[in-house]
Amino acid sequence: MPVDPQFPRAAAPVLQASALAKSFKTPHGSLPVLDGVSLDIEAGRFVSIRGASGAGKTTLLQILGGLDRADSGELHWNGERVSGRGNAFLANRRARWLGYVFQAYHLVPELTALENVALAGRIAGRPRRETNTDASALLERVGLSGRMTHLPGQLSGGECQRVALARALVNHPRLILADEPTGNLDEHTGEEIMALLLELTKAENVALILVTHNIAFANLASQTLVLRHGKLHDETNGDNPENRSV
Amino acid sequence: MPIFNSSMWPIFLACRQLFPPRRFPVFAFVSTLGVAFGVTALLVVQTVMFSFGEEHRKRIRESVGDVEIHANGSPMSPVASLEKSLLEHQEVLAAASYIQGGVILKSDDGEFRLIGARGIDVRNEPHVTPLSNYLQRGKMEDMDDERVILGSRLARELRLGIGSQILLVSSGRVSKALDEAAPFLPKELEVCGIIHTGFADIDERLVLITLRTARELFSLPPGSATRTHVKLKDHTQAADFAKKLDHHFSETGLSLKATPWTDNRKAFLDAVAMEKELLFFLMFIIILVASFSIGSTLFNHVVRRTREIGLLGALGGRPAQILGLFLAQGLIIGSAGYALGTGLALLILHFRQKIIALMGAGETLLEQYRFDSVPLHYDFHDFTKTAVLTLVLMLTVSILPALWAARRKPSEAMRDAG
Ligand SMILES: Nc1ncnc2c1ncn2[C@@H]1O[C@H](COP(=O)(O)OP(=O)(O)OP(=O)(O)O)[C@@H](O)[C@H]1O
Ligand SMILES: [Mg+2]
Repeated sequence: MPVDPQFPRAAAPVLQASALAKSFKTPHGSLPVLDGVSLDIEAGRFVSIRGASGAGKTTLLQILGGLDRADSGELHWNGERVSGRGNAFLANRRARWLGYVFQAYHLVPELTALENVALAGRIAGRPRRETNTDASALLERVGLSGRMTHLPGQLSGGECQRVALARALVNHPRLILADEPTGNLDEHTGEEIMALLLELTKAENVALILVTHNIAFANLASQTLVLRHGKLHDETNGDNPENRSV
Repeated sequence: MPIFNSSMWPIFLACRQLFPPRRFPVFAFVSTLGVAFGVTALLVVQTVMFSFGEEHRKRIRESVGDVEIHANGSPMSPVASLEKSLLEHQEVLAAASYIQGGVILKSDDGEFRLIGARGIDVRNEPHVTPLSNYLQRGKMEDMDDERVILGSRLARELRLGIGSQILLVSSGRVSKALDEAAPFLPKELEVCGIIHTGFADIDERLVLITLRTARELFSLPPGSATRTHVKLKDHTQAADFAKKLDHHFSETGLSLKATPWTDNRKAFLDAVAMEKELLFFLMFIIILVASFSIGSTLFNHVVRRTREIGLLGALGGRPAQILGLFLAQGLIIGSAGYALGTGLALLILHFRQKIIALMGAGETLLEQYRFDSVPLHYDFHDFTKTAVLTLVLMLTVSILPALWAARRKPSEAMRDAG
């Protein structure tokens, strides 16, 4: 894959979405989920998204991360137009500058903690030695230096999510999409993971879009959005939900 | 830590999924065994069939030489000049004449057998056929006009050994004697050697005598023989050379005929080859059935990994790499199964004698194929054919689940996982 000489364009916002719409075809007709979502994320920013179950938060994250395509609207990553580009382009960019964290960890059960983290580097096509160094450094930073050769089945939920955090960061991404990363964890562990996530993204100046049901976590963000009726509403600083639409 | 080069990650992951650390690889084990048994069955059957055919071919070539020249049963004379003219062809390495005919052998005990006598040119014959290699007792040079070599089974049945006296009468003469009351003219001879080839047709009913004794026995003129056979520099040229000789004979008005060794027992050998093909086909069907069950196991294996397929997509894995991940698993199972199956087949073939003895099938073997042991000749072709077949089948059964996986949208695959 030839590298775009202007990639990444430092000056451009990490992510720009405008008027994204998405509906799913169901046996009972079309189910609109997103209906004109616009969003700009500057480098290093932290944005949270809340919303009722089924509101379309996961769908939105998948579209923003190029795992799914919007029916209409425009999406730019680092100033590069994404909409209408091929799957290979999406896969390449996803691997190189995007990190995902999921509620269900999604670790490969046959790989050790270190290998799970290194796998993301390998998929991004980075040299072996380099990814291994990065992977073990990150695992150390998330506090798992003693668990590198453990399989996911030998780790606790919180430890699994730490591995997933390390994996999301191993390729030095510019944006992390986190879909309810604390959803499967108890309150205390959730707080630990959240703190770690914020610390790591801040240290590397990585932008973060966090989907969460936890209002306290959501309010840590510089911008708090709520997805309702297919649109994003800005509720930063406890604004009245009905006032501002982004 | 065995982490591969970056572009190799699907192969690395394929190995890990097949052989998960700290866990018994049930899936890989069962599937590999399935392939291995199929490969073993196919290779053993094909090799045994090939060996019988090949052994027969070898024996035929060893007993008739590469090309035989004859006058449709009538004696040819003088054979010395025929041999000389044959040796002038640059393809020919050696030539020897002989007389083949039916005789009645009678032992001192009064037992008798109707067998074949071959009167050979003791000096030239060893250059054309390796009969002397099979001598169990005695030497070719011990033979003279009074002394003969007997097939081993024949000698045993008639309780004959070195020094035993036998009587030979030509069967043609017996029939003549019945018609015209002519004398039998039996010939009294002494056994000076025993030949054992392992091929019952020879061991059970052959007596080797000298060319001169044969002429006397069959009342043929001096300098004559019924057949002349030649050894070629390249035995694969036998058919071509025979054709060339035939052409030459008809041009010069000689009523001689040249037959390549490949024309001998052609129908039988064709039947063996055909049987081999048929068995291959039957085995193929069995293996096909096995492949489908491996295919369905593989599908299961892939479907259980839906969440990982989605994850790999999210991490930037391309559909072609996901395809590669699962195709690689099919190919690894196929290759491991082939290797294991081949090893098992070689083991069984190595111990074939013991296995046959255990099954008590020795007699059938002798009756059907005329060998007292199972010959073993490997045909490289059978191994490559089986390898290609295994890989093609494994690719075929893994391509569907692999395609299914590669075509999953990561967004939906991840949702499947909950
Ligand atoms: N592939 C699909 N086909 C049809 N409908 C779908 C599909 N994917 C999602 N949906 C529907 O779209 C809606 C939004 O789903 P989504 O998972 O984005 O919600 P969410 O906000 O993440 O919910 P939660 O908080 O429970 O995770 C849901 O009603 C869901 O049933
Ligand atoms: Mg969701």
